Amino acid sequence: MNAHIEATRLHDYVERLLGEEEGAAVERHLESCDHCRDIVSELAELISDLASLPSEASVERDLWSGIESRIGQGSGPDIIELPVGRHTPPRRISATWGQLLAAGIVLATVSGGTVWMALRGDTAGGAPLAQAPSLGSAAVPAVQVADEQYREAITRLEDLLDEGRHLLLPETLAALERSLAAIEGAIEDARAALDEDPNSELLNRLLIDHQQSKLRVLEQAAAAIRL
Amino acid sequence: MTGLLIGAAMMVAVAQTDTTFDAGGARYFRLGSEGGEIRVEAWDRDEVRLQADHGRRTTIEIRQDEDEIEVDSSGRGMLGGIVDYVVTLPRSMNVELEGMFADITVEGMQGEVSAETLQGDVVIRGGNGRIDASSMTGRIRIEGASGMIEFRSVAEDVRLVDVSGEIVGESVGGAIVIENAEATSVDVGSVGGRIDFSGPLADGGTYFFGTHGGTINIDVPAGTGAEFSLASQHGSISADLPGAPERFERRRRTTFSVGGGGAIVEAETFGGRIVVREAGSGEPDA
Amino acid sequence: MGSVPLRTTELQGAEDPTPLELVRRAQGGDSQAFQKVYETNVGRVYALCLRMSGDPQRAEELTQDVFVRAWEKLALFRGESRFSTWLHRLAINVVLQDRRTRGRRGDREQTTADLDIYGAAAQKAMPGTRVDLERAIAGLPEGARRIIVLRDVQGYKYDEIAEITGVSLGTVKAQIHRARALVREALER
Repeated sequence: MNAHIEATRLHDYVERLLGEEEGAAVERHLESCDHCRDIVSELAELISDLASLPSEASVERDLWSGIESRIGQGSGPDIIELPVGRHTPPRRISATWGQLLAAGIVLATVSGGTVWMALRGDTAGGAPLAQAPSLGSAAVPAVQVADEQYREAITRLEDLLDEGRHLLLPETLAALERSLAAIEGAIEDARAALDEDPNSELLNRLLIDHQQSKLRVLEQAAAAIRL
Repeated sequence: MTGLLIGAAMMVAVAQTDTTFDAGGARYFRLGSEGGEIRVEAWDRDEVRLQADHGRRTTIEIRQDEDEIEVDSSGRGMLGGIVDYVVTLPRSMNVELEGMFADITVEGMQGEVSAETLQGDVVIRGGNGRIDASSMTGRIRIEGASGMIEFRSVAEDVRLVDVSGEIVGESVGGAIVIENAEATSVDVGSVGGRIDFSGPLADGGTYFFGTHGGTINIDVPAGTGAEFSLASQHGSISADLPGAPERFERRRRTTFSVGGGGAIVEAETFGGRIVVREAGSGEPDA
Repeated sequence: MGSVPLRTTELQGAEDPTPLELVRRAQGGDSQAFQKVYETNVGRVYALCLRMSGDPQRAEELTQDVFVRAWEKLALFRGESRFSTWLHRLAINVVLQDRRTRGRRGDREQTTADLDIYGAAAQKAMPGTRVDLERAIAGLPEGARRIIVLRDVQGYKYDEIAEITGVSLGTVKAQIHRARALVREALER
């Protein structure tokens, strides 16, 4: 035989990818060609060696704790539920984002949600429909506790936004700041009115709504920065 | 924004990708884009057609998993990751789209749709199951979708037309208009914007509307049975329904029942207006 | 016929959940079950990440990324394939994704010192492996390395590799031939 078989066909031959006829033709060539036979045997040996490399490797370092901290805040895979009442659909938060913030937000919203449930229980579900009284004073300290936690979460998010504001387009940033100012104005209105009427169920609810709204806007902005 | 970038694209050197491939029964389609337009259309084949206009040094990456198809782009040069997409998908696929400066349109899909953009409009026509639309500075329009519908706009208007199921969402500064909805529950809020709602109220359904300074217009069909709970701190309330009180006091929550009850409707405002009336009795208040 | 095996199964069910049960529990949000899933599968995932990346430290990070991604995507696993197969495929995607990301910042050539470190790590992680072969793989250009790992070490078919990596069948074959030639060359050095 004169010409050698091209490398591609030899690889295919070793991997048994050739048809019967082609395979037989290569075999006939190999019978009389030391060069190609050497390539085939080296190839076969290499492929066999590669295939017998161990398929498992032991990890020296503890990797689980890192994984756990990244997945650990959620109630379930993929979705971290923010278990609050109004206007708060379950939010998808990526693990990284969750890791940064979930601790603060979940804590805050759980508390807010608890307060909220209490508030809502007094009104929406109430069967006798009449002029409802102002909310009982017992709930107010709870609102204040939630209020504190919201402030913390909001401060944390605001810091994050401050650090990443250069990453947003000027018009996006302007719209964001306008919106945050509008919410802040609403919060201030509710607070000022609460000073005069501290037991008002409506004002307490509005305040919580606006705080949650602010939290979500900041969260959305921070997620955008992360993008 | 997009127009401007395409203009630039023409000067810089544009490339086009147009490929059709087997969807392999995949149920999820995901696409992430830094900028440009994303348009998703539906067809009745188990194939995906991906058309993209992009810079010459931009690479479109398509990854196909067992159950999902993921499209991403990366690129250098002036256009970087700016891509205009038109994607045609099997109608039943679930779609997840994310863009930074992208206008997103999804037409005629029958699965779940999630569309999130930072700056750009979101339009979803059709969709079943979980429907998510979010834009920080763009408008949102959802038509003919059914299921669990969620929206979030920070600064712009939201319009939902002919949707059914559960509706949850908010816009800080924009109006929220929900027209002809067959909703079993609604929970929407705005800080400064107007909220309009029209559609039948389901027996046992719950409907919550909140605004700080805007107007809430609730149009209910004649003969609706519902329990209303309305509250305003400094604003005004009017309810033009048979059996509703004629006067509402500020700083008090007023509750009343019409048509023997059935649905629960709650609306509250700090300084805005709440207007409840029978459908067809005039244009909503601005 | 089945009494003994059946009892065994029942005992397993009561005291020792099967891998699939653990996955199902994890799908329900049980992170302890997911830890068991991790423990069962980490060896294979790490081996893949190690060889595909050629960098022990990066391989550890990638392994963590794989399990975090798996947790996020668990809902997509419906039991149509074996979980280990599903996870393995996901791991490949994570590694390729990482390569794409880093690819934009440019690849770095492996120095002899890098390969020494890699060889030592490979020997420690996989006692009994052929260190010369491991080093030869690690020293390949990235594209060739990932394809030889997928084809010759992991045993994926060519069309599967083309699909996974998003390059044409012809390119995959050309790459593997080149990779094998380079490995042989490295072994002969």
